[in-house]
Amino acid sequence: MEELKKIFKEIGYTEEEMNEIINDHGIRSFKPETLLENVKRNYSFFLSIGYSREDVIKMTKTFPVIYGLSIDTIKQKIEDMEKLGYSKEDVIKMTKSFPTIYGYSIDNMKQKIEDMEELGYSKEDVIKMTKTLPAIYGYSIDNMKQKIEDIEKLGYSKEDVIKMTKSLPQIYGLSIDNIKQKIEDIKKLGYNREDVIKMTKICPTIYSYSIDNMKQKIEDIEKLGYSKEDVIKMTKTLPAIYGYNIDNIRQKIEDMEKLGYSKEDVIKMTKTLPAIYSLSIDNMKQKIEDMEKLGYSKEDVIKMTKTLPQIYGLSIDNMKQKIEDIEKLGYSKEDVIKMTKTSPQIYGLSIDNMKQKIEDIEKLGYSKEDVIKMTKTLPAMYNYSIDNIKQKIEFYDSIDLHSLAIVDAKQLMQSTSLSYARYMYYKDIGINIDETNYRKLFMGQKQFEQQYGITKEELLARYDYQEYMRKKNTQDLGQEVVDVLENTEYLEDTEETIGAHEKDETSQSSENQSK
Amino acid sequence: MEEILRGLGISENTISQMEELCPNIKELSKEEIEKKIEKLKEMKCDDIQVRNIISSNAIYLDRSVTDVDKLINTMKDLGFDNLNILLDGNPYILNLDDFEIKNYITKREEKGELLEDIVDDMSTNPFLFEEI
Repeated sequence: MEELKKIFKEIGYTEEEMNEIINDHGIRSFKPETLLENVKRNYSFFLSIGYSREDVIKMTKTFPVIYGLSIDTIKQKIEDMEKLGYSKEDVIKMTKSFPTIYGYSIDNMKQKIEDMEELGYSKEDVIKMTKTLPAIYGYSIDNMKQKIEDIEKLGYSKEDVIKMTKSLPQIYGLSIDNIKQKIEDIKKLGYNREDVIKMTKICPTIYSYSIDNMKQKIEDIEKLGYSKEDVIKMTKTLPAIYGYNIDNIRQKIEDMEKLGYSKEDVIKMTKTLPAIYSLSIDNMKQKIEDMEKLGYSKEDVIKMTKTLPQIYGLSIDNMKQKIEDIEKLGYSKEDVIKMTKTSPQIYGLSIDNMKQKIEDIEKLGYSKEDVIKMTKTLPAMYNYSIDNIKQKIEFYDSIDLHSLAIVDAKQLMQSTSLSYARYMYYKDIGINIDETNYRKLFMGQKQFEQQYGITKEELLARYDYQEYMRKKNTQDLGQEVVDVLENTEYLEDTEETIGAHEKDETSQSSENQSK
Repeated sequence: MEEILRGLGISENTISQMEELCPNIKELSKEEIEKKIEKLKEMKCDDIQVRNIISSNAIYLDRSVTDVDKLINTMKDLGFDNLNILLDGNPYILNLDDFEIKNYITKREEKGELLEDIVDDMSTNPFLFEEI
């Protein structure tokens, strides 16, 4: 016994630990001499296959029975597990954190894999999950089923739970109350329940972060120049941000500054597209180079991506295809490059959407060539809603300036309210606006005020476009009612009846008179 | 979300185009959209202007209120007035950040232009914001 104590001490156990091992129910039946031999033999064997002294102490403290196993049994277990799909290194790693595996029969482990396959995992999933969390072999399948049901009740589907636990098997180790508490804690950070459910579906790892860690991350990101509201919004889209190292985020900002953005630009871009933080800087450099080959300058790309950071998410083939498709609408490649420099949002539109916009504008009385010409001058027309365009065109039609959209499309950007007010003002002072002097409508405000002595506020108050539209719509509606009534049989019938009635009355009255 | 947009007089076709340009708007809550409409009304946008701005620039709906407030306050401080008229003409101004407008104006001031003239020029020619 003394020699046994000596060897335990030499390995590095405390007396208390040694007593716990010796008195473990799986060990206590061993004679001291046998146990001494086993300890010496197994300890050396474990060191020889890759465990450290600390690993062996930790493993045997958790699962003392290890000192009761023969070398052949241990070797056989490793071989059997290799046949299941683990490497020798995996087995060593798994048994370091969950040594009880050495006590499971291989049939037991096979059965667990089959049971988990029935839950919806593939064999590969189970192997991968148990590499991360070997303790799964210790969970009963009924408990796992119950956990899935409990998590479903929180707002997830069964598929969600299977997907989430594939990426974070540790979820099986969390109590349902613990999960509920985590949801409540995350809500307090500024999310609503649906946000938390959605975020954890995308990034289940969130369940493994402490709430203090998340608070700290929010503070750290705020210090970079974001508001708390921004951080909440960004992490809703890209919850993985909670797993990013703050130094890596700082580094990405610096790298992007070197590409030609200001720090403010990067902050703004990542607010719109937080996924930029998940792109490598080489990937971004490559995109700039690829776009330069398409015909843009580096400055163009920087400016375009400031407006539409989503460009970094488009494949270059996708962009080439979009250029070809737009060319087929009637533009040259140079036109497309020029238009997208000013309005990169065009890359976000489907070609069907663009065709539809052309057709819609054609219906307002223009040829396809006119539309192509207009949009070359004002590519933003593709972004304007057709209701907005229609309103502008209808107004200029009403003052006989239908061609304005073709000859000077950029002027369409002036609010119709201001154009209407100026037009009416000119009319009141005896100036008739036509194609020869239409530029008067678009005169600089300062010059307008100096020349006519009326401020924009006064002008807009005097000639209220909305009021004009309201009256116009009422009149149009009134006219429509008359048109409808004039064209209905009912009215004709009614008129006939009234006519006949009047005739009757007239003839009756003449009869009465003659009587 | 779609219900509010329809309530503004935006057609189904336009709503699907808006979703194509800014898929995030599908995820926005009723309150978030209403807050953005309220902001426009605070700038005295009438119903037609609200419809024009939102239907032509879905990205505005997805912007943070803090950034929009900062932008509007900066523009007012710089001397832009009748923002409803300006935004009706170029709704995409709402996608800019305050620092972008300040930087653009500073560059022009460095070339010898007066702030008052730059603001007048930008107000008269809303397409100049595309240069930012």
